[in-house]
Amino acid sequence: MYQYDDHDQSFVEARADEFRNQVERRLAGQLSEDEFKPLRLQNGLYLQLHAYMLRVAIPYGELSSAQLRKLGYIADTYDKGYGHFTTRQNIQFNWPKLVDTPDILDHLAGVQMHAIQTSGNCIRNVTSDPFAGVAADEFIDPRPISELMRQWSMLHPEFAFLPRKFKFAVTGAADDRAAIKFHDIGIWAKVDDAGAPVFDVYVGGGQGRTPRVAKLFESAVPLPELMPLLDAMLRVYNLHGRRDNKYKARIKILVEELGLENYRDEVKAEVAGIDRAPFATVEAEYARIKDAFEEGTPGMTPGEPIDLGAADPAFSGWVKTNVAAHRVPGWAIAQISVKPKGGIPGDVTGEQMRALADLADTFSQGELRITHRQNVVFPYVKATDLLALYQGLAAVGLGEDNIGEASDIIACPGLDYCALATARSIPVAQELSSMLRDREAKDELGSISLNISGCINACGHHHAANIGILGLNKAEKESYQITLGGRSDENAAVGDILGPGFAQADVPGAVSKIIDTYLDLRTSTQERFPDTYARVGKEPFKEAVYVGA
Amino acid sequence: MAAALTTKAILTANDVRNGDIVFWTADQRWSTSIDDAAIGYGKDDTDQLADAGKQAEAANTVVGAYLIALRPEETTARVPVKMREVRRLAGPSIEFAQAA
Repeated sequence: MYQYDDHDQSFVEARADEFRNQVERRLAGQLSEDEFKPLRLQNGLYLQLHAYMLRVAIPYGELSSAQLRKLGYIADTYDKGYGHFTTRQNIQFNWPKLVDTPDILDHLAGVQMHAIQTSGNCIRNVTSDPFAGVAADEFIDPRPISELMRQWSMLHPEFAFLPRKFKFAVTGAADDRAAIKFHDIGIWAKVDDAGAPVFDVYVGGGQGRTPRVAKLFESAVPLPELMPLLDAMLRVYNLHGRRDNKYKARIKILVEELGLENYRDEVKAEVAGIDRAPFATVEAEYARIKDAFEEGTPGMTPGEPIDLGAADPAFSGWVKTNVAAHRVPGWAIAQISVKPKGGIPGDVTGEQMRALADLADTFSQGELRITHRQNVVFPYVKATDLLALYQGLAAVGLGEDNIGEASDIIACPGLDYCALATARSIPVAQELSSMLRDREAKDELGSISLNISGCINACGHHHAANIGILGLNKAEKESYQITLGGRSDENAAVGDILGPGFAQADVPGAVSKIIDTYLDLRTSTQERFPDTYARVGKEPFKEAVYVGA
Repeated sequence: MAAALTTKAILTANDVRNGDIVFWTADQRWSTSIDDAAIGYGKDDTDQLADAGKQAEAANTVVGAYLIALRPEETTARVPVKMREVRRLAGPSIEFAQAA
């Protein structure tokens, strides 16, 4: 994996020192909350429903075992023994004390981590394909451009106070595992006929109260042109974005109000006049970063295919759902589910973090990835090691074989933690997880995405799920609205609202009827839920859920 | 900043240092127990509570002070009107993390 150089290291250390000074002044009464709030938010420190919350950046979801071990230490020492993986491939701690945050940031800096730009109206953590660099279907490794964008966006003076937060995602594979079309700007990295990197750029995607699938802005942008183009796209947004209304401030609204063609014309005019001097080193820097990733990639001698799990049904089931094709024969991508039956999506204890770090050292060259579906990936596993890895995971409660299944639920913290939430997400996820694990044990449900958000801000990505659930406050009671047909892959779509909402107790029954309807209507076990939905439409599902209810 | 309510309310905030939820008491201090919270009845009382919140924020002892409206029909218990406040006072409704 990429290693920070001395400049990066001294930068995060200086930033931690700076925040320590700011906290000291706050505690001494020299800074009011109004003065301190933007400073803490720029360091990922929120004040949530019950307590402070610290969100730590994990650029493009890539972690070393040493970093995860440190996160486990922080969980046990400064929090309540656990952390929560987020849908931006980050981790957040729900109970830090303000007085402890300078020490926490020092610990993070010690392993090249920080919490910068995990909040505020700036460019947030760049997310990417958790299989980056090892996926069998990859055109090009998306991490070098993701890292280049991280460096470009970090404390970028023009983009520190945008109209609203800004999210990038990058993929470089045939299957979009990074949900790029649900981002402000999504980048699909490919290679041209000469083998040079080129980038399809999408703009105006997002979720929240106005969900939109991003539109193609430009295809096959060559590397030297990409960064000036992104700079110009941000400049036009920065100039025209709606600062008067936070609900209309995202770039998706600007693109819609201006029209894609007019937005494109403005960006092109900006690009034509942009000072190229700051971008003169882009190609050389990209090459340097690419080399750094390649140097950090372990040697992988191709092996022979082996028979996996024939003698052990539990292991065989785990391989079927949790192991993905690797670009090197004889190697595997192991996905670790953080979604046990009845568990809390994305929550991992300090003990589990240490166990995962140890297992990554033994079986994945000390490297892991966090996925936007709140799971963990080991990218470098020898196929011959998979059984031992599975046994090690099962021993610490992480051997669930449900990646990509309905019980692999995304859920935001909801009204159990979040100051913005309108309803709880986690208890709904837990109840559905228990019901769905039982059904998955006896029915072949196949791959279904089920996501839950506790408010219209949609941090739980409900719009992008095959089955989405949105928690709302209706006359001071929790009510859950269901959407169907969303998807976050290369055929991204926003789900349709099924009908009136449900009380929490009625959600599992409604979801069960939706799944029954899908099983009845699918043409074969190969027809996935969103394909069945696209073929038959909403009505059969609506009838099943509401008629006679 | 705490805005005055004219019915029945208590004053809450978060402790600056550790983030704990705290309540303003009748003896002019902050307590982590809602049972200690001073209840304001009517506009004058709740105005006084709101002022106490402003002063405490200015003194940098708490952050995010505001009034929680209570159900007027509850004579003894301090029961918020809003679901959000009920949840905030109860704490997370779930066990932390996973059972390994």
